[in-house]
Amino acid sequence: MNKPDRHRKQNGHQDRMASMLRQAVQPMGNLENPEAGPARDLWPQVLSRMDQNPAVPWFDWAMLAGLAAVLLFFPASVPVLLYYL
Amino acid sequence: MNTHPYLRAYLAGVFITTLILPLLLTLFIIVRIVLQVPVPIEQGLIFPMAVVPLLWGLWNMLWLCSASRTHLSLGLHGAILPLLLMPMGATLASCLGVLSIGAHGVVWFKLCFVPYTLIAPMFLAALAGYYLVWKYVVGFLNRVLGIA
Repeated sequence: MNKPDRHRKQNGHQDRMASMLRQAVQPMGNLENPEAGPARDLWPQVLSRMDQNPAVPWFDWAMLAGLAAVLLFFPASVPVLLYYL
Repeated sequence: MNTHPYLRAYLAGVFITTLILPLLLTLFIIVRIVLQVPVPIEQGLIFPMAVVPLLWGLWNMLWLCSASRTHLSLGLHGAILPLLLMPMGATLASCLGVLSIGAHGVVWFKLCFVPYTLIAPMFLAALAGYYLVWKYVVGFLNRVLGIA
């Protein structure tokens, strides 16, 4: 096989490999201009995610109040509870 | 960040107890060295300084290991820990002379008298405190470290 034939065969392999890769891998957005960024503004989504602070349930407040009451009315319990922390 | 999740769980578990340790040491120095109050604190320090942080770290590792099967929330998992810690701590304190058992109650550090009627509310307070700390503090740390 002479040199131009070998070169043509290699190019054919490369083209076939490229077309197979294009079929196998899904396109990822705007590949022609990757610096263009996402198609839509994502900042409102970030803000809404940050605002989604789950409310503290009432029984958590009740437990906190109970714990505070024990510590306040029975100060002898403070060193004992510290011993277990 | 998918590497060493159990190491991260251990570190998240020991975080809060490690923060409290300097406070306990400061309290110890003030009470024993500055005020020279004759209470046997140093015998009892081994439990909050060594056993409790270790168990908190291991308990968080256990939660990471078992949560997918038990579906137990982190708060409830943490609230179970006093059931293990309290008998251990009381036994150790009793052996070291930090806790003495009397007819009407127990005396901690030869100073704090706790009547038997107060033990149940204190136990419930400890459960509540552990539940809240595990749910909010350890849960936050687990999220920060990417294991929850």
